[in-house]
Amino acid sequence: MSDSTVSTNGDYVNFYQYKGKHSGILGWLLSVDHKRIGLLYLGSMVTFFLVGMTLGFFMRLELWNPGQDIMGPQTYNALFTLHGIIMIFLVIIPGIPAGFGNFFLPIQIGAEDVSFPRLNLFSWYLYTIGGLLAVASLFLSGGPIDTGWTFYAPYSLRTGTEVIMPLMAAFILGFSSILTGVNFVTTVHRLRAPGMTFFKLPLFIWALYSTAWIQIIGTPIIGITILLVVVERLFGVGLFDPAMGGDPILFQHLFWIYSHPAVYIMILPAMGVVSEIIPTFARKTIFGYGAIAVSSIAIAFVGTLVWGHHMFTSGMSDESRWVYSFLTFIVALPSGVKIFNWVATMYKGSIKAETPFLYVMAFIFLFSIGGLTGLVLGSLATDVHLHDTYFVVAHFHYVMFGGTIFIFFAALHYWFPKMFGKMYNTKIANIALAIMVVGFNMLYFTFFILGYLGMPRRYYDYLPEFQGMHQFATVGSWVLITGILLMFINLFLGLKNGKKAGNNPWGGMTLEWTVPSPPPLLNFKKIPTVKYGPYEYEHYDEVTKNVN
Amino acid sequence: MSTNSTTNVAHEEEHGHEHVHDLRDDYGSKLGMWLFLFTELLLFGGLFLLYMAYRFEYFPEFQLSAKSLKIWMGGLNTIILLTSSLTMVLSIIALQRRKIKASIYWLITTIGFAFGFLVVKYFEWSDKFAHGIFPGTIETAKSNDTIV
Repeated sequence: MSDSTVSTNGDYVNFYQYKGKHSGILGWLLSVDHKRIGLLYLGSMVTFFLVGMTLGFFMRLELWNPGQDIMGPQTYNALFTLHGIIMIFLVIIPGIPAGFGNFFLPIQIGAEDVSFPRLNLFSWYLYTIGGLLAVASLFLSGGPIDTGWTFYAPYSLRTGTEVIMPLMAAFILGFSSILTGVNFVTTVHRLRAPGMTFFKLPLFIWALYSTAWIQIIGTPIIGITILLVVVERLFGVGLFDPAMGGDPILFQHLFWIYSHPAVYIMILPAMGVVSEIIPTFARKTIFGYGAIAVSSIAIAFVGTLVWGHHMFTSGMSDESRWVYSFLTFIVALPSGVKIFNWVATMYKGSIKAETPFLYVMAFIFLFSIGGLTGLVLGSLATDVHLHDTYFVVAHFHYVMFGGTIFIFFAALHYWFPKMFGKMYNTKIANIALAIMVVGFNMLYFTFFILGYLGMPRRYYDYLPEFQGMHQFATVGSWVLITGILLMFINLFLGLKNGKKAGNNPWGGMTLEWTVPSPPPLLNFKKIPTVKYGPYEYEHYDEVTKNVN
Repeated sequence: MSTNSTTNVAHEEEHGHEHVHDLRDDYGSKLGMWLFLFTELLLFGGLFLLYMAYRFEYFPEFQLSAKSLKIWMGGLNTIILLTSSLTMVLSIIALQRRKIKASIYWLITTIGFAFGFLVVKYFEWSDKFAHGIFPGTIETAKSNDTIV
């Protein structure tokens, strides 16, 4: 994001070069341009990601030997709590929608900006304040929060650590998320270019639109739940405290009413990115456009009804348990629709196996493992055995990390030339991916086996017979981190010294590939009129004829 | 502020303008505002959910404690709340008709009602505190005898 990324493409001024009211750092911090705000988000997220990764690295180090190695149980509890809060609330939930969504949603629908540009900047400030509060809570006198990222009552009411500040951080982050959702829904409804009907929207937009609705519907519930925990800690109202007649299971219900749909806030945008990348590199229209678009909405809807599957062992009635289990299996259907449609799109396509495409292949492999093991946890009998073991940890890392974060990386590599006008070294990017996939599976596949054998999650200690596997996983974490660092360094070097990328290096057909790289301030010289669907490659020449 | 004045930038043919903000989309603004209000509804929905659950779980206690309520105080505050909503809307309507003075008058009335609400609450809650009913007291937690 330094001045070195500025490139002059002849007769136009790109959004980095545009001289607004403010210059320098203020030109970023006070900018209401959706592209700058998107990059602000991406910069913050990558930073928080590296912090969360470092916490994970130390957790794995602690597990090298049974017993205490480098930290005691209290520090370990604080580390996994913060690792969870940072990775979930600061990286994965806002990751693709707030970062790439901000940058590309207006361009892909043919708009100059989002509906509420100032609100957009305000959302980023809320995000930053929330993030800083979460990190600052580490240094308060009570010590860092040790409840796990789920803040379960009654422990979160009784622990002596600093709970209120990270809770307020999550509350503020929630509002940032809500406002972004409001902004995106309004933008998609109001600012589509002429001819851009709903069923000509790129699938990334469909995914963002569904996500925005979940943000609007789900997030307020966690907001009030968090506030109630704060009120309860301050005044002892007794809402969730069984000693005062409260019901801790109610907390779990309220928490998961949001936090399960939030899982789809995390994964839907990633699925949208996949639906963009696969047609571009298969040079073929997507198989089953309507089915993929509607399956996003279906996931968003059914996803709001399955929260109880987090509570199979919390003491619910048998009736609710099998109903929730059944609904959970139903969510697998629209997810399956997507996977099969992506694979069918590649069938007989003329595939160019370039870097973003390879990242997507890694995603399909890892996400399929994550998805299928989700069914193991979704059925009652197996869940009772595997609940709160490393099996669960492995499952959600395959889904969240192998799913969302790998697609976050894929999106970085796919849109990098558009965002910065430069190209990175694709060979090194591919090598980094290979290292990451190896490290990832060493680390998390081992967790499946450990969990199956009974290793409980959230312990800083373990039985001696697990030592071999724990050490194997820890070595895997080193491999994984090496791959991630190599990838970021490569991207950074591309940002500094990369060759000019051209306006459409991959041969994409959606609107962002018809504007210069990097795009000008208001994206388009003239708002386009849309005639064809986003992946109708038979019209490729006509759509991209003005792209040089 | 009618939706007739809606302009969608997407339908503008040319834009040689420099600023991002010369787009005015009243319909879009209203849509965004309603969406936000909808999230507020859900936020408080969580509270109602809790109320429902506990009313179901502790039905006799709820009934018993209802008998100790000063209904006229709560009733008065309900009237104050609803009336102040009315005066707030009257203020907005006056503003839309460009009657600035009337708008300010209604706004002040609304603020007056707000203070009235607090005064009633003061007496209502002092009464409760005098009986030892407030969050965190053992009286609130353990038994209904003291509430009666």
